Amino acid sequence: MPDPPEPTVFVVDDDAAVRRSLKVLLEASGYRAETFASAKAFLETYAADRPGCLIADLRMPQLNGFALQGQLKARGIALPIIFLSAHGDVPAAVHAMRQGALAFLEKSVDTDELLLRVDEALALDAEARAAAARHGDLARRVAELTPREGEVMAHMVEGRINKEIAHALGISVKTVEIHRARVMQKMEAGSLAELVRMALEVGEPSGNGADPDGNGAGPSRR
Amino acid sequence: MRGRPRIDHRTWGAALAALLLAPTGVAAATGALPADAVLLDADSLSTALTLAASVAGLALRAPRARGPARGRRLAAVPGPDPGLADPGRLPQYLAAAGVVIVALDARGRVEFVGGRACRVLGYGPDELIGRDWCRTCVPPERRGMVRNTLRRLLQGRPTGTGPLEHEVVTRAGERRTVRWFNTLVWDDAGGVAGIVKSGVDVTDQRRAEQALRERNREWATLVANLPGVVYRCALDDGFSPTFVSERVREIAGCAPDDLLSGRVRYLDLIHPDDLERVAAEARRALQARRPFRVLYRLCPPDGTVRWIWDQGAGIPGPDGEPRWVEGFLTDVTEQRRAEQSARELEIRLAHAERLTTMGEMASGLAHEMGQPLFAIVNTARACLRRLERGDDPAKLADDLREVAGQADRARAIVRGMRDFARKGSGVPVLADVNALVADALRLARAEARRHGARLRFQAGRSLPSVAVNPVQIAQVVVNLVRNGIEAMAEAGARPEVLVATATGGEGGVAVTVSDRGPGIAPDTAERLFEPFHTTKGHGMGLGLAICRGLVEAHGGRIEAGNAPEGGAWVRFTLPPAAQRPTDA
Repeated sequence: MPDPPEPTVFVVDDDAAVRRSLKVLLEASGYRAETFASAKAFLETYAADRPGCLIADLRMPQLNGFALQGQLKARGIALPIIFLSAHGDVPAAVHAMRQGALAFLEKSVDTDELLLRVDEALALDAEARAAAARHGDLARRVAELTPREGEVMAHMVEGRINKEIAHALGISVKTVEIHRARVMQKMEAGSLAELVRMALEVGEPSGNGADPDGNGAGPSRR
Repeated sequence: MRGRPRIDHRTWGAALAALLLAPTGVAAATGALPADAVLLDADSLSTALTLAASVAGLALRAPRARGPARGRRLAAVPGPDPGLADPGRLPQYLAAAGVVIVALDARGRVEFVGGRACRVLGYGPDELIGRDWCRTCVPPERRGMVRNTLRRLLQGRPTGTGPLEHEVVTRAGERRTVRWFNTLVWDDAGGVAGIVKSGVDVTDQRRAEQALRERNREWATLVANLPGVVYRCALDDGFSPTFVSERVREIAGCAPDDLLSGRVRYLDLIHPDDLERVAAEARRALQARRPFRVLYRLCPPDGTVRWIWDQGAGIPGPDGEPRWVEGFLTDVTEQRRAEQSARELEIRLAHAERLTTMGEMASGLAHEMGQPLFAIVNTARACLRRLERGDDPAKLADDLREVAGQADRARAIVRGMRDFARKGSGVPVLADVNALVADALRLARAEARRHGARLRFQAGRSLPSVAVNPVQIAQVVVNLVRNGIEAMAEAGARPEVLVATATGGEGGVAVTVSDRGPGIAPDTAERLFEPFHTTKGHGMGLGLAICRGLVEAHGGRIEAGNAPEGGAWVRFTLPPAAQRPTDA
């Protein structure tokens, strides 16, 4: 993908007038909008890597809003959903929110409120996508560590000094220092504190010894 | 005198004259002779008398000649060959004659009895001779009167006019009615020798007349007691009546004579709005040799308005063409009133049901209203933003058109709801079924959306107009669509309701509502349209019953069934506008 795709507000409503009006409103407010006449049409078209948010009518013939929500979840798509309903239907609202909807709005909603929710949803999506991207990046760096470096990093983030690490791993302090520098380099960490934060983000880097390449270092023993 | 018949020529002549003349019943003045003695015209009389005289050579005095010519003998015409005119044949003639002949002497005793008289009276030819006529043969209560009349006759005094009709008593005690002509027999001296009574036995005729009178009376009673008016009129421009029964007073406020004489024209009493239709309908039927049945309003002079059910048929003249109309008028005002109040009740029930329906559909309708309003708000806001941003206002035209369009949509829903909630006058109006159904579906669509059902409309082309109460037909459609939707909601099928219009039987329109639900259970089918029959957990079970009531009130029919591919259908028909009977 040449450019990071522009976030889009996906509108799903069986009422053509409502669809048209939302598109006109969103575009006049500076959003990109695409409309779909049914949940089915949306599911057939939407690709998971397209950022944005979803505005869907709750009551639609055939596949209603809840069903659409369930389908997205099943496909692992975490697009924020704003439900619209003309019915002030409390049980439906509760259900929608429990299932992770971002908002449940009546169609009598104030325009500003609606746009505010759209903003919120788009921000949420962007953040989630950034987090997911960052998560993916760190995981890739961790994967680049040799098993020994991984073990060293695990000790480092636990705050052990080189001598303790050397003792624990049964290697020389000199060697620990070399591993340590490689860890900092490969993880692109500027400081130990940053490394700790990264380790927290990707989860405890396991000192798995399943390194197919090996690097001459002997298999670690606890 | 007694014992042996003393038949002389005078008696024979008089008897023969009576025999010839009496049955003719010709009424004519006969000079000075008492009018009721003999009634015949002068020519017949003289012919008869001449003949009698020629036969018998009698000294009969021509009545005309009485007075100035008193005592003059009629000249006997000499007959060279008596042949059939032989006086000797007279007894044979008299015996064969169909006339009762009795000759009385001046004292009222029987001097001669004819053969027919014997048969009528039941006596042998000789048994009555010499007996007092009145005492023997006249019933006691008439005896005085008859005797008196005879006496006056014998005295040559007038006794009134006309033949004398009275009963005689037979030997067996039976009574028979005889119409008597009394002829005086004069003696040579110009005195009265006796009376020849010739008569006709009219017993059977009188009995027939009596029976006829009885039947007439029965018929008149029957007609008078019939709950209506019997009439007969000519098939002319004004239907001129030739008979109208008495009860016409009750419905038309005038006497039969007023109508028969033409003082009152029945057609003038028919409501002007109905007259043309009724006359045309009746004439059309009569021309087609069919009976007619028409309903119209009659406006008698008392200012009331009565509903008349007029049924009649043409009666052909000798040429086979309908010439008269015979018919029967029934006053159905009361029935109409009852029907009217029943209809009024039905209208109120239907209205109440609509209000209930509206209540049940309120949430869906709020949604239905919410759609266009939401679209309006969004689009208008978008326009404002674009204006604020400095967009060319000309570019907003499409969006503003959209705003106006959605406002119309919202307004149509409001109007539909308002109309649906109205009571309605019950006066039918000419309408296009497709437009009616589309209006109804606008309301039902909310309900469909609420249940996630699809609602499709297949509008038939070139349908005839119908004369209907629009809101009631909309109500039927809404009810049927809701029924379909609910049937599917319970079955969980892929819900779709299809409403289709088409040309129906007899030139009308058929509207079919079909669903994809479980269909109608066999044990339910029969009672589907009965009130308070429901298969749903909620509701009164009045919906379909009301539908049937409304459809039938429009002259249509409603039926239901299951489609072979599954689901149920309900179809109702409406007659074309022209066929619907005019209602007030």
